[in-house]
Amino acid sequence: MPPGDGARTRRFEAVALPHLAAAYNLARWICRNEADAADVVQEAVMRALQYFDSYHGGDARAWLLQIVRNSAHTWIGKNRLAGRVDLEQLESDSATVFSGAQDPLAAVIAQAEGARLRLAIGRLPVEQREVLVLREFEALSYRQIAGITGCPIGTVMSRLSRARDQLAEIVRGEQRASP
Amino acid sequence: MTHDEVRSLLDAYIDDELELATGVAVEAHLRGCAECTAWLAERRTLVAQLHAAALRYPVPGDLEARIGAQLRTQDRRYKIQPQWFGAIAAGLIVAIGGFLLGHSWPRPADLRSELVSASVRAMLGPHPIDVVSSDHHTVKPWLSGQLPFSPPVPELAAQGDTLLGGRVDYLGSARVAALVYQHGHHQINVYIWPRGALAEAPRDGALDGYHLTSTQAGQFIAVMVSDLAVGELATFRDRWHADASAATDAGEH
Repeated sequence: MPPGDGARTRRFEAVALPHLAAAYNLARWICRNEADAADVVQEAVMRALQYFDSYHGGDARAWLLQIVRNSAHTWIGKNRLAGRVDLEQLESDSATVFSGAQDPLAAVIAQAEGARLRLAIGRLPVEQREVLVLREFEALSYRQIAGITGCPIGTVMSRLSRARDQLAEIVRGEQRASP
Repeated sequence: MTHDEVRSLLDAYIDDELELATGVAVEAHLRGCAECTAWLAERRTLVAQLHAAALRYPVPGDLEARIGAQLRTQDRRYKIQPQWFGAIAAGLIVAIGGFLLGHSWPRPADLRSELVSASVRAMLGPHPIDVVSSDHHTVKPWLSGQLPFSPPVPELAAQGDTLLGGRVDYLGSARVAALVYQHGHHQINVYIWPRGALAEAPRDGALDGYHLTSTQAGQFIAVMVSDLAVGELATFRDRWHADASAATDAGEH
């Protein structure tokens, strides 16, 4: 590789940076923490540049997400000792609305529902969480998710089902609890 | 198709991931099963809620700028200076040579530093070993469960090297097996991947005080990384090779 000439970097930017939002969202959901997710994405993008010559066209989003996912798991490995679920951050996040709803009442309802779901997803095991995020928020196919997470399609299917089971359980429980 | 079989396929049905014939069979069952129909409706509501709830995290304002700045730094760092022409020409020859041999990724020189930094990172990290065991009957199945291949796992205790355990590491975006051995006061990391799956082994050498050497056992490439002296690492490699080859020849995969 002629290391990082300007033209190559620009080509890389054109291929990779359109998927920055997907990359950050995945890292953010895996790390459950804003600062670490940003570091993971930055590191992953540099890593992707390093391996850009191995990208032979095709699904750029899946290619980048695979590298991001691996970087995020390396990050988890390093932070496993602490084993911390950053629940505090999770709680404070769940109060934040990213909804663009215009109707104030609808916005309030969406916010409350979103907050509950956000908290529930944050508590899923990471293997289920990443599959759920890739399916529901990135609308990727089982095959693409299998490629990104490095596990068979059957495993993707069962992890996604278990994730949805747990969320359904929580939503149902809360409906019963509220009047 | 039984009721339970259909139930286990309903998520894939919602996601439009079923083969046509399977989808038709699921629909046939749904027509006669109120329980599955109700379950499906509830599930669809949940999925719709997930999509509607705007749960994606937006990219922090400065991240794109940070990445852009780092990419530009990278460029400046590699602006061609006259004294670099030789090195760059050599690098190009290596890269083209590698490409012609059919394996352009990761390139051997990168692979070498990647292997050393992976083993330094692992040893400094809180958990250098994912599966702690000196028994290959424990380590091998664990690795086989994590990886698309089943690497040889020699124990070597009789020869004075204690197997401490194994872990899965990333080289680039590929997953490889790593075994950790204790030899006197030194630890040895052995990285294993199937031939053809990743790159060929890097050439033997030293980097940042670590030595690298490699061998092949059956269909596998194994690279040993350690701060052990070159000679000792070479004899370790030969012991490892002898044991691993015996195991792979015996068909113990």
